[in-house]
Amino acid sequence: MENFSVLLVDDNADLRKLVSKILTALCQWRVDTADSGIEALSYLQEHRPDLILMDVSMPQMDGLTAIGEIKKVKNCRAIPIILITARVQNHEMNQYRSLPIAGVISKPFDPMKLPGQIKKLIEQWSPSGENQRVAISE
Amino acid sequence: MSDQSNKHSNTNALALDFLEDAPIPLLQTDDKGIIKRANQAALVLLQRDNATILGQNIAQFFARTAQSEQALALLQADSILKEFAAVFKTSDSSLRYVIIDGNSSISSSLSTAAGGENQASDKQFNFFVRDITESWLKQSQSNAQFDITKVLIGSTAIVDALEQICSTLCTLLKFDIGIVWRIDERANRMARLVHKVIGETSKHEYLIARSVNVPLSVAAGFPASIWFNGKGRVYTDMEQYETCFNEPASRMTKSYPAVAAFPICIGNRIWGVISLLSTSAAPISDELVATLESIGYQIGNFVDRIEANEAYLKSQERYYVAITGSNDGIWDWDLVTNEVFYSPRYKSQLGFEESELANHFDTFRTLCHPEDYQQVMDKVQKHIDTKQAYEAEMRLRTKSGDYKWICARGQAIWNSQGRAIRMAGSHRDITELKAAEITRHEYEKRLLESESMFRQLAENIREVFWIISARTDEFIYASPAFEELWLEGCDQLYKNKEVFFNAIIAEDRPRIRRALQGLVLASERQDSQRQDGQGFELEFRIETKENEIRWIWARIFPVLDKSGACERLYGIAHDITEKKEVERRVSEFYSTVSHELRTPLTSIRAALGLIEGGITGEIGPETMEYVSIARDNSDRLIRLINDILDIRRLEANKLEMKIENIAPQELIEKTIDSLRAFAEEQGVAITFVNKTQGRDIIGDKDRLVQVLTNLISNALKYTPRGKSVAIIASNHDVNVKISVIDQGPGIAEEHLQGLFGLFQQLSCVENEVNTGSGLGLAISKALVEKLGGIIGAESKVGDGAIFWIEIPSLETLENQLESGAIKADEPNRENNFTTDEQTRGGEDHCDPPLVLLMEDSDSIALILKTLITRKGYACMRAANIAEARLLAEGQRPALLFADINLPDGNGLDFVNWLHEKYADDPIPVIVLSGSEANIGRVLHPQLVDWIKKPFANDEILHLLNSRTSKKTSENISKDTAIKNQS
Repeated sequence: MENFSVLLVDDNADLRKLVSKILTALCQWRVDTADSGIEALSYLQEHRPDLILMDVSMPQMDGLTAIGEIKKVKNCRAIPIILITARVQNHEMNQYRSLPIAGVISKPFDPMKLPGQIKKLIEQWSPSGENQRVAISE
Repeated sequence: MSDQSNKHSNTNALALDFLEDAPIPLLQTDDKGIIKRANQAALVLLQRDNATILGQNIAQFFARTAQSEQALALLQADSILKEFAAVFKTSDSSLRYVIIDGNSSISSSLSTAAGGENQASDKQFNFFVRDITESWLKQSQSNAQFDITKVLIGSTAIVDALEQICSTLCTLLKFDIGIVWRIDERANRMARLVHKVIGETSKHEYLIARSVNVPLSVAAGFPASIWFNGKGRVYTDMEQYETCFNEPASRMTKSYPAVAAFPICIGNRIWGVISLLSTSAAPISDELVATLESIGYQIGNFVDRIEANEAYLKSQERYYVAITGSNDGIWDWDLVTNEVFYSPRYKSQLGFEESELANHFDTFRTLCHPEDYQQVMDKVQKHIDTKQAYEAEMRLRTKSGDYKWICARGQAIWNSQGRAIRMAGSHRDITELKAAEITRHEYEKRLLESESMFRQLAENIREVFWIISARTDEFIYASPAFEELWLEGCDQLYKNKEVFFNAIIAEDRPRIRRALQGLVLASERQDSQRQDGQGFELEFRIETKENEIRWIWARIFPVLDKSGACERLYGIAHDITEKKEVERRVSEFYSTVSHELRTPLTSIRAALGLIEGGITGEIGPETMEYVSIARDNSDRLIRLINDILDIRRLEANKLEMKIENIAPQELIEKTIDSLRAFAEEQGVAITFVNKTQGRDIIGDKDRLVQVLTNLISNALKYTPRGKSVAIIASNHDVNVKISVIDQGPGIAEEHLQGLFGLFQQLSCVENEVNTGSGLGLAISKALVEKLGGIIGAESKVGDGAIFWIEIPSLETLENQLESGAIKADEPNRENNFTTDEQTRGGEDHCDPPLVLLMEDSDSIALILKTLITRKGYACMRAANIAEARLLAEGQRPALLFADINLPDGNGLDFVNWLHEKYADDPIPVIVLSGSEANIGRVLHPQLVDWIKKPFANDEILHLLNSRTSKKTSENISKDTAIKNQS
């Protein structure tokens, strides 16, 4: 997974910094960040990352809306999206199951295990198999 | 005599004498009609002498002005009168019918004879008059007699005949109106039967009004005088009689100068009176009176004959009634004599012999219940007065002294005067019918009484209270609070129950409709889980006219009648919007708290993890130790948050269970694997022994892992380094028992009790290993119990502890199914409900709905069968398609549960086969599958629900209830509509 690039979308600056650090330090991935769904969409006008990590609760445009918009952007359909969210109550999780995403990682997470969880979700995911169950990594 | 001297002094004496003595009356006038001369015969005819006739105009001797004018006009035009018919008036106002021949001639000596007056013209008119009165009267009398006879021979009805007679007599005898009265001696009056007017009726209004009922007394004068004298009579000057129609006769005399009247006699009895009246003077004579009298006898004979015939017809009618009503008692009551004919059946109905009851009205009067008598007689009177059908219910005393309920019907017979003279009818014994009716009445009365108490209560509470009639499916009562909540009038609701439903938001409406129809009691109970006593609870939303959404909580309970059928549906409801709002806020609060706590914790945990993982560079061992403490505690905080949320979900009953069969070996191994790292960290070994011999447990895999993780991690935490935790799975009765045995410090007996409560910290043990949230065991207990299992702990201080759970296995279910221990949750209520519904559907209420279960996996089949049976359904299971076909051919199931992958083919093929087989009334289907991809394969997608494995109990039960309810038929009609379109 050389030259693997990640777009991290989260409104929390601390978390952007931490996740960037984890993924660059542990995986040597290139991590770009956006603080909202809007910024993510504008980023995607010019970039095609290999993975998008998406928070759910964000101002301006929340993660779920952003996912819908991203899927409409040309050549972005096949980019795997993983939700990283603290909204993991039952009814919220049920909502995620129907989304065209590779999986969900719940917050808080163990930073040392994060790369492993991400890699596993990407491996399981195929862009065409939309009926498959959304994998949840806790 | 002056005329004698004139005669002899006149030059034309001879000729004049001839005229003077001629038998033909002669009148000579001038050209104005002034009489100049009248011979002897003329004076006799007009009953005048020369002094009163000469110089008079001839017109005044004509009875009718038109005739005089016509005659004079003809002569003045130099024409002649040839057999001109006219009526002359005599001095006593009697009339003479005359034929006049007339001409005009030149006057000669007449002027001197007339007294020497100068004449303006010398023309004179000669009138030769023949008196034909006698012959005319004879002729018309004989004509009248002939015509009357003709009328009477051709008639069968008295009134018709009398009308024709009046008409004939008036025409022939020159009268204007004929009246017939019937003598009613008992009522002391003459009742008018007929009045017949020739020509204009309006002229006779006064007479017609006065003559309807005439007092039958001599003092009343005409026409009662005819009845009194028994003879015919003509009146030319009625004034000599003091009264007429009970009034002075003057008014009548002015209007009717000629009146003839005569009695209708049957032998010596005077049956009626006929009177003929004329507005002008009519020629009448004594002969006429005699003729009319004889006509009166003739009519009398006729009336007698017709009345005899009517009497015969009446007896015929009685006979007819007796024959047609042979099962009922027959009575025939002579209203005049009060004699009553009671048929033998009438008497035997009441237990009497033929001879034991007198044929008199008094018999009825004494047998009839005093409370009913007046009511019956009122109805009889009403029937007689209005001729409306007579029907009455009454109690009649039997010979033994009991009362029987009798339904009487009857018909009176009215005579030609409109008087009821007899009444006949039947008696039917309705005692049994009435007894049932009375029972119902009393029941309804009591129900109403209790309802009125309810109402008093209902008017004064803030809750909405309503009553629905199960029979009419209408609201028959709603308390005033309804108007406050629904913002619609109760009156509107009574008129249209849709007022109730229209306010309910579309999403909830069908559910409530079904619930109120009594069709989803069970499902509502399942939804709410709060039921107690009879009835069920509902929660739904209404949208008021002000577009405000309100949450309504309602409790509905049926009131059954004696037979167990639902009579009323009572409902009580109140606004729980505020409560719902609080609930929503609480739920939102938990969500927010969870999210808001997690977000900073995520950063803390991630930062600590980075430091601890050495990503941020080397750190000293002491720093590392403190970082680890911080990381441990942040982990603990995270668990605490998770546990709190779990507890909340359990308490709010929002935790879904997905039931499947699980091999204990895999379950425990998977749990141990996830804890291996922690065990190594703790320096504690884990051993596992499985003695279940392949027995599977029934439960929710994720939840069981959660419980076992909690128990094992606890054991690991409390067990000292170097020791071990033992896990043993074994069969315990029909259940599977999993024990987790630690070698920790043990738990004092007093602490064992509250061990599974909330926030139970084992404060007696050393603090350094006490890292639990205090919620783990409470959560485990709740989860295990929800899965139908039990949890327990055994320990002695210093001797370790054993935590165990017992989980139901397939054998447990099998056992319960076989022993019949698994029954409907609430058999009584379920049955009441089922009975009610199925009775309406016309099915045998003893059989619960039959579910066909097609599933090749024994364990899944068993779980489903348990669920289905527990809900009060009957269940037959097929392991493959072939078996399912056999079962479905034998008996029509109410619902099919179908697996897709079956050893002998695709389950959907069987679904289609079943839909075609029962095409008239398709069977709803629930398909258990991994996906919905095959939805296009089924014929009736509307009838099929899809459930993914593993399935949630609630989901299954909800579908089961809704699919076996009326919804099915709605879907069928929808489905048919779709098919028709395509």
